[in-house]
Amino acid sequence: MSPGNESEQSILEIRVCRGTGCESARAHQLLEALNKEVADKGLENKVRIKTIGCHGFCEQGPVVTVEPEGLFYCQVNEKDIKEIVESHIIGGKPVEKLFYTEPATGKIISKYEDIPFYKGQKKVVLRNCGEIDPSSIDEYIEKGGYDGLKKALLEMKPEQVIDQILKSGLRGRGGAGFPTGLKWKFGRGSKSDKKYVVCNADEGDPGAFMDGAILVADPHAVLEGLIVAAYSIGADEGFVYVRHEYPQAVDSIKKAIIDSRKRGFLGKDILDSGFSFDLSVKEGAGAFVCGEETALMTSIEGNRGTPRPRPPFPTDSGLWGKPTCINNVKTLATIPVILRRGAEWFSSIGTEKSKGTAIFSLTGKVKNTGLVEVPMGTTLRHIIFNVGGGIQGDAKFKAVQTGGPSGGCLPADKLDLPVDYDSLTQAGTIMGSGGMIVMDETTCMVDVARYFLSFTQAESCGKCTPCRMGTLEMLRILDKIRSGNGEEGDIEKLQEIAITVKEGSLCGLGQTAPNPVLTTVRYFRDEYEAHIRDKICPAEVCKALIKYVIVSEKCIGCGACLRICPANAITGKKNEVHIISDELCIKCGACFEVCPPKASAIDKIPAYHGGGH
Amino acid sequence: MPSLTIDGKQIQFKEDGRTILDIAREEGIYIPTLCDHPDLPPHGGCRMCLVEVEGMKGFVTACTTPAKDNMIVDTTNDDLMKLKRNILQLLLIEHPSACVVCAEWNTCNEYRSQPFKSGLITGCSTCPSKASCELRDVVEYVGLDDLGFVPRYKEMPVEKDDPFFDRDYNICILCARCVRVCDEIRGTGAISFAKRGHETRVDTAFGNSHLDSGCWFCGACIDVCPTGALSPRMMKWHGTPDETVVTTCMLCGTGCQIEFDVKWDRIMASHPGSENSEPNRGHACVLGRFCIPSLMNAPDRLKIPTVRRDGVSIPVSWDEAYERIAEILNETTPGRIGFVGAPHLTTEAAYLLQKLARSAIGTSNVDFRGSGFASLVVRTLADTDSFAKVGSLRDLEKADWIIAVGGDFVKTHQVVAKSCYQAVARGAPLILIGEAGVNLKRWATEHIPLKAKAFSTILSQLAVGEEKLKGVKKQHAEHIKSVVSKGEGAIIFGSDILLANNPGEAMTALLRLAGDKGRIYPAFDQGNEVGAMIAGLQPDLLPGLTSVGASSVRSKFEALWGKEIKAGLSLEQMRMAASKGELDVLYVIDGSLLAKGFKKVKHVIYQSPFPSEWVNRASVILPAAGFVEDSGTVVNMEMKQLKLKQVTQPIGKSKQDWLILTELGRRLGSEGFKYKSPKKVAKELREFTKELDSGAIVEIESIRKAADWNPVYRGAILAERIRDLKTFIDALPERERPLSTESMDDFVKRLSEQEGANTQVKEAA
Repeated sequence: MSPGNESEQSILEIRVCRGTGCESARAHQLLEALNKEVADKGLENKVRIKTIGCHGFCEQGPVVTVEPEGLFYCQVNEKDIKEIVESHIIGGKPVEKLFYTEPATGKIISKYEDIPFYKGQKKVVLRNCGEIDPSSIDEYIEKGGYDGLKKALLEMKPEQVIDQILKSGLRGRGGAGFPTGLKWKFGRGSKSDKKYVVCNADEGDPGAFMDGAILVADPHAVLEGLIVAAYSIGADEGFVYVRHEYPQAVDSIKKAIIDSRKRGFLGKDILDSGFSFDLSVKEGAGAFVCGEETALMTSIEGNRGTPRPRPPFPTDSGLWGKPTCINNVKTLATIPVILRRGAEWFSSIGTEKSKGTAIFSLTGKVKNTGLVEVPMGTTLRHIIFNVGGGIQGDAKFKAVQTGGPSGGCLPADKLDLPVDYDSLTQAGTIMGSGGMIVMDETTCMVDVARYFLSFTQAESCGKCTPCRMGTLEMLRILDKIRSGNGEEGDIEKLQEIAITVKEGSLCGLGQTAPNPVLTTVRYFRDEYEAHIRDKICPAEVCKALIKYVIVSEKCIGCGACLRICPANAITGKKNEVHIISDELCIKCGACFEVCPPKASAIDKIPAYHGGGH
Repeated sequence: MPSLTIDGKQIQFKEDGRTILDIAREEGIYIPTLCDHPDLPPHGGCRMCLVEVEGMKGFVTACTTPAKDNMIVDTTNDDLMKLKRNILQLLLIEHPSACVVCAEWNTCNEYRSQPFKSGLITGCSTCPSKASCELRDVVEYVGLDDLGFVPRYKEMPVEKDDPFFDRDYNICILCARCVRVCDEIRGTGAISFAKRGHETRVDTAFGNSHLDSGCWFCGACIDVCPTGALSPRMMKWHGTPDETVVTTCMLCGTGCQIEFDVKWDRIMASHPGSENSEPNRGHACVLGRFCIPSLMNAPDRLKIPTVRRDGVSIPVSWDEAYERIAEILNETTPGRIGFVGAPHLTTEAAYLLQKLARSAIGTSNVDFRGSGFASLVVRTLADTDSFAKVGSLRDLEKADWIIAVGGDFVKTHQVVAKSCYQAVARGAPLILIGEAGVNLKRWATEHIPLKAKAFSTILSQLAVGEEKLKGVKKQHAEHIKSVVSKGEGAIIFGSDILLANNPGEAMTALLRLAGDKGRIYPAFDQGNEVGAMIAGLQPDLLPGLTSVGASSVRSKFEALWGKEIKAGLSLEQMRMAASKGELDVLYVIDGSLLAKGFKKVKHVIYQSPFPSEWVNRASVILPAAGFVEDSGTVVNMEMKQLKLKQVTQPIGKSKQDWLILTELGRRLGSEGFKYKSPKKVAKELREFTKELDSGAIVEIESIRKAADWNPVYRGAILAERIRDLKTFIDALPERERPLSTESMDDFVKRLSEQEGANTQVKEAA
């Protein structure tokens, strides 16, 4: 695998992304075909095929890049392989039709560094994602991997490492933003014969995939960070707590552990420094609450994952009562860079109180979904419109949700808000672990609040009353509003329960669960009021508040709607105007979708006019 | 000294990890709680104890926050009370609680002070736990005017399929006390929270029945339940008792203090007493928790004395009965009369029985059923002057290591097992030798599954620190030896030790192994085995554990009682003599005594609360009181004298054993039977037990075979009388089955198939 010297320049490196997004778009078949084609044509010494972790631009997957030119093929199909091999590898002529086309201008861009999605980012934590083969420890080392560890172990005392991290201003990337250096300092300060470090990779937010992507694309960076953490606080045992639903990540980190053990980065007397540390992978069983650190520890101990009250904090009494330091995947993956490039360099990125970069999984109604990294303090507008390329179908932006079910929705007038811990908290949402969901005008905010709340409600562990019962009761009110039965006072009731749940709950899950409701009420109160007073869902989403009608002037009597209707609610003879029966209609919207565009005779209208039944 | 302020009150305290709640309670400041329980570690789930601490973010739970110097704590400000009201309203959505906000609340309480029986609990008035409900206390303190939300009934079926208790999870507030006490205190872990979110509930693994879940029916979950969700099926509708009385349970040798609800002079319910009463400290076992009322109120209790005339038992007055007994005893040579006492007699009654035999009749043919184990233990202890080596259950919880020899003590002595688990939970290694049950095996660090025969060998080897242990792999042997070499140990052993090749050697080895600091824990199966020994209910022992052979002491007794005393027949010797026709009269106080071998006895005098096979051939039947109707003292496995307090009047015309024996003694014309109360008997006995003199150790016979657990009380076989107990005991062998050899994959597959089948059935329905 080590790079040859004579033909280095002439060898093409074809990188096939096998991140979750590309993989589900059949990247594995693509890879097989590519391997076969190259073998058939006897091109093994002309090209090197490499699998990489998430390249970031998931929207365009499967993604194939060709180095050293940095050419970027997107949405590559198995059938395109032949052309790539024949035209590009043999003929030296890149396949232009697979290049990225900028939707706004129609411009074809061949290199990924020129694509706005990549141009608008700053890769610090994701530095190796898409660059290296994650299964190869050599490639990681070649990129400067484990240099930070060597520096820490051989040149620095644990206190000095902690000092560096403190100076860098790094804050926990799991969401709460607690200064990492300070956490380590507490861990260091706890007296005990045994200490633990844990990597929290229990990423459960709907629409978030940052941690999983990093574990798949650059597992050694996480390991290196974890070993440094262990060295700093004086732990000799560690765990990586990762969701069972991330099989790729589990395999990746397990392999990385074995490889780094072989190289002496793990185990007894690491790098002859006298420091010993080893770790194992613990797979979570899919409870969202286990992302909460105390619940996570209870789960590692082999019990039902329920949180426990703090104090005592984990750094005083964690796993099996011993001091335990828990850090998020992204936090740990940042550590090696800080050590290698220095705290000053790191703290030069970002804002005064939030240093470094923020990583988001950008999803929803945005053109460029994918994994993005930007400096802290970048505005939402930049992320959504420059990196994200704007709203799909150039529709109107309505809201953006950060922080997953624990976060909140921000409206258009907050688009210029700089993304950092404090600004987001002030606006009523949280940085969170890094989910970012963009919504357009077709999204009903009551429905969105209900969706996130139904998630936290179902994932509540049931231990404390406010979270268990409060989220349920809020959900019931939201359902009432969505079904057109909302009453005056419901919004106030929602707010009151929300505050009870926020102030009364035991752990972070409950304390943040009402955020989606509180922020949507704060920024989109008129939408709630429209549901309650006028019985209208402005986004035409809430089924009970809309109905489908056939506009008789437009109907061409093709019968498409009649055939697709699952409820037999549509009647009408061929070539005559069709009618939808309100009693039978289940509002699935199938007719709306199927009505030929030239007619577009089906209309979605409010079910009640002017309020009242 | 550090100090903190709670609600404006400055309090000095010692900073030792105690929480704000602990300090507040000591100072008499009430902070409402629901999930907190003095026995259990803090949980922090109900959020009722939220307080505001200056300088701390948000509100914190008083039950989990350690008190620190200079803290300023507010427990009652408006924001807090509003928050608590809101949380309580949320909690009450699914708890049938319309009663607590009902306008008729006070009037209703006055006129319906007691709950009325109902199949479904719809409010406080139909809840059996109305009087003891902690939720009501909290509601009253916080003050709710309205429920705030639409109440919802969870519509879960009330579970009544398992023995002893009903579970109505519609009432449950998920405080997790039951889950924690089962797991953290009793070490069983039969129940846990299941499912998530609003569907969270308490359940067994896979929703199996409690019989299959590993539950021991100790009832600890019921005792900690703050609501009526868990209730004892047979004793919940009696309402407020007239009084509650605490006495010692005699169904095994632990000596638990049990609290009885008394109404209309009958015991209605039993609970473990307060957490401060030794030795059980608020815990009980299946027998003490659930079985005593059914046993003592049994309709077939013996109530009237009878005398057999012309082959028919005829009810008579006590005088006539005594008259007939005097007749029988007077016409028989003393040496041909035998007295078989019960290990359930009070020490006083046991003393009187042997006194009656020795002073009024003139024979030492006295013994009690199952005396082998007590005989071995008590004589060895007396001989080596080491009564002080017997530990209390409180000591057991602090032991550094534990060895349990022969027996599943979780089954037979649940309260002892609880103390054992407390030590294990604290990190003490547990080493099992011989037979053991599932729980013990789960807690154990080492298990040596030897046959009982080999106990003497292995214990001796351990005691003298031999290099090798017979039948134990080297590595394990080394570990065991390193464990027992340091700290204060505890050795729990039961009557299985009698099956050892040399029980005497095993017993001495035990003592030696315990060393200077260690303690031993003889798990006696019956209520007062030690007391009976001390009282002299042995053919060769006089009161105070003096040997009949010791002439100086014997002559003292001979002078006192005016009769010559010589060693009598033991129970087995009596049986032998009877089979040869050399025993004419047998005075049986323990109905559990097997009649085998006693066919040729001419007259049987039977004194017991319960009928047994002896009833059919007894010439005279004397109805005795049960232990709840008796008073006196007993000696438990900790070698402590415990009081028996009379809870109710004896049923029917029955009388306490001490009274029957006193009256009989007087009727027989003996001088020494003028006692007015058991206290006088105890005073007399104390004269002989002041200094426990060691007598000669006689050869110990082992008569008990390793029978399975079968609790008995004077002729009453509990499992035959209490259906739920039988269901439970019958289910035990199945639970002891070795774990399945099924692989995890197969197991998951089978489970999912089962699930699929269930869904299909449901869908079909």
